[in-house]
Amino acid sequence: MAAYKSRGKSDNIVIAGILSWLIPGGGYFYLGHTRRGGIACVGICVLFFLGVALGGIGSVGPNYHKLWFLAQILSGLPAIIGTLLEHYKMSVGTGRGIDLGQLYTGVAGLLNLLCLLDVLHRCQNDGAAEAVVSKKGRN
Amino acid sequence: MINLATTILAGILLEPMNIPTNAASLLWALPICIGIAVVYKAVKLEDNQLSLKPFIVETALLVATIIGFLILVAVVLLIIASLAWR
Repeated sequence: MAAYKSRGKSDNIVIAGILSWLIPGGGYFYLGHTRRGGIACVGICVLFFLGVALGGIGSVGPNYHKLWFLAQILSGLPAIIGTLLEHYKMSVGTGRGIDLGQLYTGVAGLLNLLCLLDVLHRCQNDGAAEAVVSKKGRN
Repeated sequence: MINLATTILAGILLEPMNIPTNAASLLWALPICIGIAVVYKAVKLEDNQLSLKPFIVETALLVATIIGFLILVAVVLLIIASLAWR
């Protein structure tokens, strides 16, 4: 029974982690924190799409700047879709548009990393709390 | 109607915006500050504080703090630059 419980807990952490990476705020929805997940999802998606609007779809992807792409890919599905659509870029543009686009999309990815780490932390805490409750119940 | 919406969306998302490199372009720091504050407070606040009023107050305080420190850093850099130009 204990082995089953611990396997279930680690499965939950993996699913929550993958969901949290793929869909901004998805990990919170999975854990039942819908309001927190909704705010995180809207905040990260708005920042990401504002970045794409500023820099064009060409600012997302490994071709323009590899280090920024590492931060962008942390936002999960939006960055994957952006990378797949990268060949639709029309022109390079001038001024700060591309730089700001990379900054916005990169920061969106890093904020999603913050959410992912928080989801994993909450998963562990919830598991520890459940263990304490079940131990008290047995005593 | 769908074609028009698709054309407008494609125009927005495909073409990069031409933002001149002038002082006014620094205002583009505001949306990113707000975004960071919103997501950070969504992560940090307790469940009972996630209602509308406390969330807005906490987020506004964080935005003000970030902008305040950005201005402070700008002033310090300006002082260093002016000293270096002498």
